[in-house]
Amino acid sequence: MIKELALIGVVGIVSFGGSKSAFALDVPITAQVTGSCIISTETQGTYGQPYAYKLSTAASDGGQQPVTRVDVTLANAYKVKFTAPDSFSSAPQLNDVVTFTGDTEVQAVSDATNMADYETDKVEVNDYVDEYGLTATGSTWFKHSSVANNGGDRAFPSGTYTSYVTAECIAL
Amino acid sequence: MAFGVANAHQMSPTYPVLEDSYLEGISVTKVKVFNKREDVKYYEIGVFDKDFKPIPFVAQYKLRGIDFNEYAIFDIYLNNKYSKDATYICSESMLTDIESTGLNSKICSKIKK
Amino acid sequence: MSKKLARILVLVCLAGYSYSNYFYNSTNNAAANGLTWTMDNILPEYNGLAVNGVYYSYTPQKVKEDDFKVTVQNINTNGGYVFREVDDWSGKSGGVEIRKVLGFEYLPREIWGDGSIQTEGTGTIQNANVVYSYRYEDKCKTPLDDPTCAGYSDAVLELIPEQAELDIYNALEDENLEKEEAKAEYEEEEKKEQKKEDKEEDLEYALAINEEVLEFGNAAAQNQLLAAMNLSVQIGNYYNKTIDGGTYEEKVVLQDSELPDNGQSMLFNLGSDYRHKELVDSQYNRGE
Repeated sequence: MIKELALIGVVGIVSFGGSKSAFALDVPITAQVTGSCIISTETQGTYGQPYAYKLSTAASDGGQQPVTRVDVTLANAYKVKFTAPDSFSSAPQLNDVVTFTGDTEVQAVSDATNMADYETDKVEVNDYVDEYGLTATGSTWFKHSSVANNGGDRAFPSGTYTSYVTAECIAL
Repeated sequence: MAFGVANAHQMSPTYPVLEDSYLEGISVTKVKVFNKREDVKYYEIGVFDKDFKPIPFVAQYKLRGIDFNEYAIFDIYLNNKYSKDATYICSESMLTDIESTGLNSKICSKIKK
Repeated sequence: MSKKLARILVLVCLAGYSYSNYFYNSTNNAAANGLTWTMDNILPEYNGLAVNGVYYSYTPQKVKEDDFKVTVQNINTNGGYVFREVDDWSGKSGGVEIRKVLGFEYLPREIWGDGSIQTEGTGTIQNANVVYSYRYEDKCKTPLDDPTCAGYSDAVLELIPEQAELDIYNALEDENLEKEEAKAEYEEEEKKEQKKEDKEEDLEYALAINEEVLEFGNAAAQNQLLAAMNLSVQIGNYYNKTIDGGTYEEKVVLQDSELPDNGQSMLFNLGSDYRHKELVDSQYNRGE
């Protein structure tokens, strides 16, 4: 009995020693992908005055449309929301109510395949707010239009008029 | 793909993570804001819920001056009773110069749950 | 706008940016005159020029349902393409401009073959704009700028007109050399003559000195002789010579021992004394 056990023990040891056991260590390679959104001003806008009671950023009205560029480094991680001006941030004393209209459009993209439908897929939240889902990494240029009409078609008083487009890049 | 234009507002990370701070019942996270807008000198930080309603928070600066081509890191402390509602951390440009470019920029990162 | 973006491209895509030896610039629109172009007409002929980036933009015009692809590319002269970008607008709306920036690791102009924008499918493109950014070495703008520039020797040879006869110049047969040799010989002769004259002069001089020395020696001997003679001369007799003279006694002797004053001259004397005093004082009262 003892002899048999001893033999088994020896066999066991031989077997164990005969097989090469590899001690493997898993070395993890991790990365934390952090995206970012960059909002840039490409072109500053200016109002033209085709009529005494009207201010407009349209080129045909002597104005300049502002252009914003949004860069995202993570796909399907952001949406961008643009709010056209609905009031002047600074202006001379106005006695009449000013009516604003505004809009945002995609002007250019950096990826034909994945960004070409941004404009057709945009969501018009209300008359002033447009929302775009940025589904692809890269750059997108947006042009904004703004028109202000003084109440009663009365002339705007002379002075400096300033308004702002608000661009919000919101993580999804 | 960066173009390096003159006026840019950048914020990262996209999904900041709330972690336990050294204070009991308080969570903390960091966001980094980079100012490449010559016309903007101040940025305001805010924490909001999913409907963009403000959530109380504590930071060393809520309104902070960031020079052109400089960045700032904001440490944001949230009471744990608010942290489950907190959804967005946003940085918004504060326009002080009426001669600025006419763009008010706001970038919101979403807190990772 | 495209020029501005191309310049921005230069700033962004450069690595190892150095101000010391390189100039950086960008081309005009390569697609201004059509959708194919030859790089020799686009890139300037600067030595060592290398392209590091391409910017392109265009606006596709198409119906959403149509298939349409646009390929922007440059052939590689060594085979294949330097770059080839395909924009697939199939099933997408047209009318939206695309802008792309491609960066490279300073590829030399020699490999840049013809460039083109090719379309496939139904649609057209408008406002095509292709700009290349590049750098070149300031000291080798052209091969002739510096002898160390590549192609310098060839460029110099190109400057030589073909019909010019190449006379191989043998310096030994140069007539100027003969003149120079004659001149050298003449100068050598002159030198020899001069040396000879100098020697003669030296000899004369030496001789002259000797004579002067002799004369000087004679003069010295003479002086010594005179000194010796002087020593022997008795001078004392001249110093000690006495002359017989005597004393001349006064012959006219006044009998009276004292002379009385002349009373009549008193007034005159007093007058003259007073006048004399006046004259003396007048020199001190000059300013009054």
